[in-house]
Amino acid sequence: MYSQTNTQSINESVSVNLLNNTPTSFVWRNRNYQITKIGLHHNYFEGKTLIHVFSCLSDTLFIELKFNTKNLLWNLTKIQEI
Amino acid sequence: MEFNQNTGNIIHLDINSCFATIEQQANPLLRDKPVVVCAYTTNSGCILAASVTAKKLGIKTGMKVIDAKRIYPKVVVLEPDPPKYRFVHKKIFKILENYSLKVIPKSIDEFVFKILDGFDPILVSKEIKRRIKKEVGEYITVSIGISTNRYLAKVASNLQKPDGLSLINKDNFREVFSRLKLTDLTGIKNGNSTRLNLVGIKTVLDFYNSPLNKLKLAFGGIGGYYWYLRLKGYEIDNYQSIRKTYSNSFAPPPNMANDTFKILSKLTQKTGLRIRKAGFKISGVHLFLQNRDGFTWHMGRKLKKDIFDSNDLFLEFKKLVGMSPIKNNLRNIAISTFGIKDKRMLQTEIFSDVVRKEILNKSLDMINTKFGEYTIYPARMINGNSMIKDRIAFGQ
Repeated sequence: MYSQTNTQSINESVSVNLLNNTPTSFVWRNRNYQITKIGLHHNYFEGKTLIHVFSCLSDTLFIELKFNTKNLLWNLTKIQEI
Repeated sequence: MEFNQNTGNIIHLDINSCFATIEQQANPLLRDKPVVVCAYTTNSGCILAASVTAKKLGIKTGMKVIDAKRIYPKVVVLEPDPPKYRFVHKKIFKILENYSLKVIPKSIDEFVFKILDGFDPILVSKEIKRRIKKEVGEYITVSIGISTNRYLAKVASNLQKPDGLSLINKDNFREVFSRLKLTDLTGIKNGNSTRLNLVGIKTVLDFYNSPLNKLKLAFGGIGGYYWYLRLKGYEIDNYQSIRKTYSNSFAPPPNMANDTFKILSKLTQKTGLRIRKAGFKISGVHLFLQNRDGFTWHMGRKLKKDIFDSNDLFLEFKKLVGMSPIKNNLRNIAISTFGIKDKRMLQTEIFSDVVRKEILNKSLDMINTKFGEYTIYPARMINGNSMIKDRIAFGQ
């Protein structure tokens, strides 16, 4: 989606910690990342499956997390470094 | 005729640099940077939205990516993400519903509505701006125009960007009109400006002060009358348009310029699904083709029978492609269907089982609705399924 920026598509399963239904940190490749800001939380349907998308910052890293409400899995879909 | 004496209670709301601002809201690393959202990120891609910072550098909507890069080589180029924009649109729509009985979305980034009686439009507008920042995103700004009709509310919304709030009413219209050029008015560009110049109208105030017969001379009978009322703040744009066609189009990038039938198949799948979802069948098709040398060809035909099946649509368009001198090297391909009729009244046929076809289509549509678009699709679309991306249409 993001091109001509230093954004990478990842699409890997991650473990996410939540507080009040909002991600606060996640573990990716055995490393813990704190979420410092949520830019936008939006959702959309893939067929009849509701997908939640969190566009957030972890210090100097932009990340996009997707939550599939059918299989209850979190996916890290994109990262971008400054 | 005097300017409308009512206090303005029509509000036009416009999201500033919509797609670019939403991307900057989602990704704080992009804020205050020149960002453009383009149909394609290649150099020939067309810019759909430029961020406020990009606009300050002179990058405009409609430019090619290469032109933006000539202005600012490090401009951030993004592809559109329609679900994000639809989500923000719906969220703002929900906020606006608290202030009006009927909110009309004019496009993905524009809304018009009449506020409830007894409320101060300025205070309401300020509250809407505050709520959008709090409930949708702190980086999203909107320009709001207030007037006595939709047209002048739109003109007012363009007076101050970004984050504007402007009012045009009986007390200040002369002052506002005196600051504007004819081409600053929505709907007046070079053609209409020339028409007005020909009858001696050079400024917006001339336009406002012109007698009805002069405007009729410039625009023709009813057109001139509408402009006469519009500029005096009377509502004439509150009609409801009726859908008469279903269309889809695609501008293939160079590497897909020869995939005519794959593109056609995908377009007919999209159009067919929309027609069936709305409960219609159609009785006419129209095809437009443009090649990369700039030649265009188009043809429409009324069909012998009504159709609703995507495959039938494909076959009809395939026949039209057969008649066209342009078959490959495409720059643009657009399909339209017309002659919309209610699908509940199906005409049975001797040589094909229409009812069976309808049941099959219903089942396929249900599967695709449940599991996602193009879960089941024609074999001719193999390897071409992801080439036509989801896009936001212009207009309502």
